[in-house]
Amino acid sequence: MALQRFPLCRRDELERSRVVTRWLDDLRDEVTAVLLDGRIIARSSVCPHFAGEFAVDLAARRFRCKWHAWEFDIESGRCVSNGFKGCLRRYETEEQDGVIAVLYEG
Amino acid sequence: MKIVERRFVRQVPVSEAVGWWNQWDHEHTMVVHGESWLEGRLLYEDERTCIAFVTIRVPIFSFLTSTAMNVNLKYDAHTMYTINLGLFGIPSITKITIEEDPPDHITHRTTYTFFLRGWRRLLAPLLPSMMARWNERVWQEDLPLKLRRQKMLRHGFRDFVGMPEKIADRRYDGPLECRLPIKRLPDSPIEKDRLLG
Repeated sequence: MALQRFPLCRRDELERSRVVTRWLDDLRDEVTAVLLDGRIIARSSVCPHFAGEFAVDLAARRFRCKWHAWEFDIESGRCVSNGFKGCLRRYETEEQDGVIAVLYEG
Repeated sequence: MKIVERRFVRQVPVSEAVGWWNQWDHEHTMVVHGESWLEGRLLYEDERTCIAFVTIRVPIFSFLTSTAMNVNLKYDAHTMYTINLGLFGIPSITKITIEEDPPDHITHRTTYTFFLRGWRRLLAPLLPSMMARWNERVWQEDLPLKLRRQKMLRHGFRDFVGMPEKIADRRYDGPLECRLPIKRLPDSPIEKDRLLG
């Protein structure tokens, strides 16, 4: 199956806010893109515990679930607050004409 | 004995499973309702019972806190009771019913009943407004959780797993269930505090 392209946001929007969270209807997932050291990291931001919503702490480089305070390292996607072994799905991104899109094959 | 009763009826577009999950997910209370829910210590829990110590900030008189012992009973598929002994030593029973009709739409009814003896009868005029404030606050804080969880479950989300890998699998139209007790990790803070069992 070929990679599909799912537009997420404009580059200038991400540069301004450094964090963009969107539900993408065609991807059927919520994606949070973070600008970290000039790199874009995009991950599924549905907490794998009970589907909670994340707050983003850029200084600590962590996602923190607003429901149960589970924390995930943005770079690795790993849970750092408890023994949960799962990992947040990372999405590849590409930029075209100032638009950042998620690439996914699923 | 004076009995004070106050009832709240709400409609929300979620399944009964999501409604019960929210009632029995004890872990979220101190995070989501942290302003008013200060402490929770789980004493015992099984598939229809939960016994816990909880400390709350008293509605309206927010400079006061109250520690109570709550006994939650899942009475039948659509009904639970919370038997509470705490606030100013007043016994109370909270009855919650959740009925789903049509699918993915519930009517949520909460009835608070307070049993007042002696000087506590003086509190009777205050209790309805206290409970209205408490119920409204907790309801509004919980509402986004219920709506979001419902949406994700209908997109194939699975607890402790996440969203399915394949986009085609991110849709689920089948029945939703809430099994008690709600699954937790062994190192959950609420498990660490368990006093019995």
